[in-house]
Amino acid sequence: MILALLIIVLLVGAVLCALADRVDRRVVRWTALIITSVDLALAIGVATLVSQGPIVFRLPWLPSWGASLHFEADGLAALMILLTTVLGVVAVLISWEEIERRSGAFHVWLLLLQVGILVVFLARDALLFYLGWELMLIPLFFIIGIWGHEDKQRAAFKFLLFTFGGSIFMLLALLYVYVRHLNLGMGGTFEIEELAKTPLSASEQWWVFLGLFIGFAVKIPLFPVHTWLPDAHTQAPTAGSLILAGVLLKTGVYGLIRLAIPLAPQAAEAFAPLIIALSLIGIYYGAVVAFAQRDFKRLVAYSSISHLGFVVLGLFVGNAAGYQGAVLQMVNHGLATGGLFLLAGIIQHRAHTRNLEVFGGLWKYAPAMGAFLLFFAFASLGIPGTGNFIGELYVIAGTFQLHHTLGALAALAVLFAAAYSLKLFLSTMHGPTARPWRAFKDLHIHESVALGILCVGLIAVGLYPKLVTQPLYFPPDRLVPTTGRVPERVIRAEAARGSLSSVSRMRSKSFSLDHEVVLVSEASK
Amino acid sequence: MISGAPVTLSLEASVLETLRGFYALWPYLILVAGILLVLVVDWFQSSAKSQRVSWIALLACLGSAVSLTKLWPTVLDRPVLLGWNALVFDPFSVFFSLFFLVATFIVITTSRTSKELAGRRMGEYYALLLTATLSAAFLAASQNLVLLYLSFETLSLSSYVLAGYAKDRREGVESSLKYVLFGAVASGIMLYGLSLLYGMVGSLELRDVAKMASQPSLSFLLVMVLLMAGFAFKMSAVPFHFWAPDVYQGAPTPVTAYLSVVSKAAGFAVFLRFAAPMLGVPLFSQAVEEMPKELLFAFLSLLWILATLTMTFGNLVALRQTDIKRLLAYSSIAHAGYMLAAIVAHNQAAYEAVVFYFVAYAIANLGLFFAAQVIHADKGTFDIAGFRGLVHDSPVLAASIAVLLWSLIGLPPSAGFMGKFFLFVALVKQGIASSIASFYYVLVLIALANSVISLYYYIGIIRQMAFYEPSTMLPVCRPTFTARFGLATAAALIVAIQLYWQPLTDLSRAATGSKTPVRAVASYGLVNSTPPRNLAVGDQQ
Repeated sequence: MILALLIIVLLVGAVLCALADRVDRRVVRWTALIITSVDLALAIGVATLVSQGPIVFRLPWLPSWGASLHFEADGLAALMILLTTVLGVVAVLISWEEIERRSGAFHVWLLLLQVGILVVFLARDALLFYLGWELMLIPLFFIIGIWGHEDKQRAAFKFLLFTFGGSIFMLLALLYVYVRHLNLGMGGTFEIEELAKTPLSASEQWWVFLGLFIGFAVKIPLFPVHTWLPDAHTQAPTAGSLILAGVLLKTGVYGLIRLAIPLAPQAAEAFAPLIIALSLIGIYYGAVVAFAQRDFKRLVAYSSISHLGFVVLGLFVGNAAGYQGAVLQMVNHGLATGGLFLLAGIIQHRAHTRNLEVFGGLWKYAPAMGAFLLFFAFASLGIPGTGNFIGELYVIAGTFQLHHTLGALAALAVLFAAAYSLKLFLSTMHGPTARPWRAFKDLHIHESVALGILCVGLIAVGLYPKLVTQPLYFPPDRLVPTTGRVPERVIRAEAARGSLSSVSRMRSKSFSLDHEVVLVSEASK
Repeated sequence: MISGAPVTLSLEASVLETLRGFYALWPYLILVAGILLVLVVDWFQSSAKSQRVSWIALLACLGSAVSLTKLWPTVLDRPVLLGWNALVFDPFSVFFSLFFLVATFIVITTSRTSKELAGRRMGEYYALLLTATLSAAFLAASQNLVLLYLSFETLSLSSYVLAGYAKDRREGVESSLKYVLFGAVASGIMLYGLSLLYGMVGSLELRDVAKMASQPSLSFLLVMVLLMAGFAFKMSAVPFHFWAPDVYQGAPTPVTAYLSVVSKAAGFAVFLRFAAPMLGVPLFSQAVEEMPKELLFAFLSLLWILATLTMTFGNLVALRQTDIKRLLAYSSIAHAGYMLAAIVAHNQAAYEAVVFYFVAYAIANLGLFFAAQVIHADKGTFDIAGFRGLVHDSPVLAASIAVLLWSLIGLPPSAGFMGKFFLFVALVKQGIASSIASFYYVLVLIALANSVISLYYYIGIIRQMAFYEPSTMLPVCRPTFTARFGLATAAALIVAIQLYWQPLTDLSRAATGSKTPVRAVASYGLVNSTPPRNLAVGDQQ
């Protein structure tokens, strides 16, 4: 019930915001803030409850079609919901001053966007998942198109065209599995778990996986289909960028975990080399292109491509370390990149430009802002103490287990991250002041709160990664990728002996953690 | 005298059968009475109050629709044959009759407020509208080639006059003339096909035609091609679509809405009935005659090509339109393509899907043409620029239009999405069962790619409404409460169908002959004997 409540609260909130719009802008903001806070509280409730086992909510919807309103939260879903609702609160806070025009409509869309995202994270019914998936498009299309920056319409349109173009392949793949299952004679069903039991031949799996993968790859976005992202990010208002980077991109990864891999596990394994190659290209490509950017937001957008490359890499190296690293990176990227986008928005709101070349020496005027930027830039490059460090470590360790060269390649990419993160920080905060920024105010209280929330999250994950990795094992999660090349027993044994490669020895702490987690999952059975 | 018993019984039965026949004819008799009454009453009306006769037309529609719903359970039980088997009232034809009547009802309501029709004598208009509806209903019910052609021509003739009803407007007359020329050619070709068919079969009954289909003959394929000319003309499918954009643009908007829904649906209905036995779909009483494999494949290939051309052409040309009625004309061509694509699947699911799709399509199209009419009434233009900044003028109107457009794209949550979903399910079903799977899958891919293309122009309108400020050159659009209410209802219906589509699929299933709606309950958690394929990381072996 709590899961349904998560969504109902937002829907009610959207209606309330629409009504509040007739009164005053401030009423709208406060309504949205209260609604998102309530949702956050509910999400925290879900995250604590999930330790006793998955929470299930199921209502019959259209039984003769096998569609049901089936929501289920396990560790992974709970984490993603938590991330969504945290960023939901932050998004309202950061739009406090920024959105002046048609504020009611903006908040309605913002809340509806979260509805779509939550449906995607919670749905265990393929049709419901697809509904949520497409439901995310509409609000973001309007958020970018109406409240965005100079080139907003083209960006909104490109976003819509790319994601819809990708999702038709996904729809076709889902349809195929649905009809295949229908032909088994057990009645139609959209239950993902039931669909996954459909016996598909290798070539069928190959096609199904390809379809799903195209849909999700566009959303993630992986290297060749990423071109919508920089535009969408750059043109979106701050809250839009925040949600887009923070959670929307993760729905792609989440879809791979929940749908693509379970429905076509063998094909996932067959595709793994290709996907690993694509994500490595994405990591380097994103980093290099990010470094060349002059636009604050564009730089962060390209860095997103690089970070998401790490996530997908971790997912497809096929071992526990990689998987945990991927999930860790999903959370960290949401917080750190979210923080950077917030700062981009804050700076742009004051300076009316995002051009890195005209900034410089801003620290003098806005030390608090500078401190936050320093923190997020360092988090983005993976400094120890922040969650990103642990996440990248896990992914790199996982990649090393697969292959040394690949591991080395992944590890080297961290250097590139340092380059663009430092460029971002130095060119805004340090150096000579290019312009007299007289009216440049430091952070408002609501901005500090928004940024502070993200900071605390990052440090918490950095110092205590179990926060993220442990919930993954609360329920015996059947939907963990089965692409394992290295049998888990080997990892466990090697971790116990502490005799992995030099890199993993260096990070023995992370591996002892890994070891414990495996034990937890065994104990829970 | 023992033998007398069955005789009296059969007499009783025949009397009962005749009574059933009259019972089945009742809704259509109401319609005929309505037509006559409209004409007669209009004589005694002054020109200024001519609009009053619309009440009679509305009442006739309503009465006819109510008696059709009474007829529904009877025909679900057993179809009624009338007039030496020339007319068949089975759920299929009754459903389509009902569909036509509801659409006509809506068109009459919108005609009442139309500015394009204001100040004209409306008696003939409503009489023609009802005549067209009556012939469309007979078209869906005809089992006889002559009756089929007669209904087809009556529908066409009424449509020609309706399209040019605003006879003092140049584009109205022009469109009507184009319509007549194209229609004459198409129905001529069709008539040629029908006469060939009669020569081959020696009977005018569709049942006998179906038997003919089982004998391999190339001339039969030729006949099908010739007949397709007529059907494609009514469906506005390529290559008989050329009339559509001009007529849609030139005709008064309510008439355009009528043509895009009723006339098109009539074309599809008659085609579905005509082709059912050959495609192997048991549409009620009709005997299913297996068409020889090669012939069937040739026919399917023809449909395949027609479908692909129709949707691709419609969508690509729609990209460049600036007039909303023209744009919707091309969009309706594209939608005919999607439905033709489903017919390629030639299974029961395809027939159900087309019926479902038509309902979704009709709601969206009737709504959008009405919206165009409302905007035209205030702003005086059918240009897309009239939609600019509409969200500032009337948020309800703009939001409703957006939902209807969304449904035409086929994006969830909307009835249009479910319609496309069922179309594709039918094709994928056939693909899995067939040895030439890619024949069907490629078609699905083409249709999906077309949806992406169509996104561009539909979203273009949404973009105009939401992203821009209203143009200062044009007056503000102030729709009446009724208009807003009507459009909001259409939008709500679109979303409601997505949330609960069961009644509509039950209906489409009943209308196409699956007597028992399949109600297999999904076996959640019951099939636990097979171990889940996906194990936890720690469980891997």
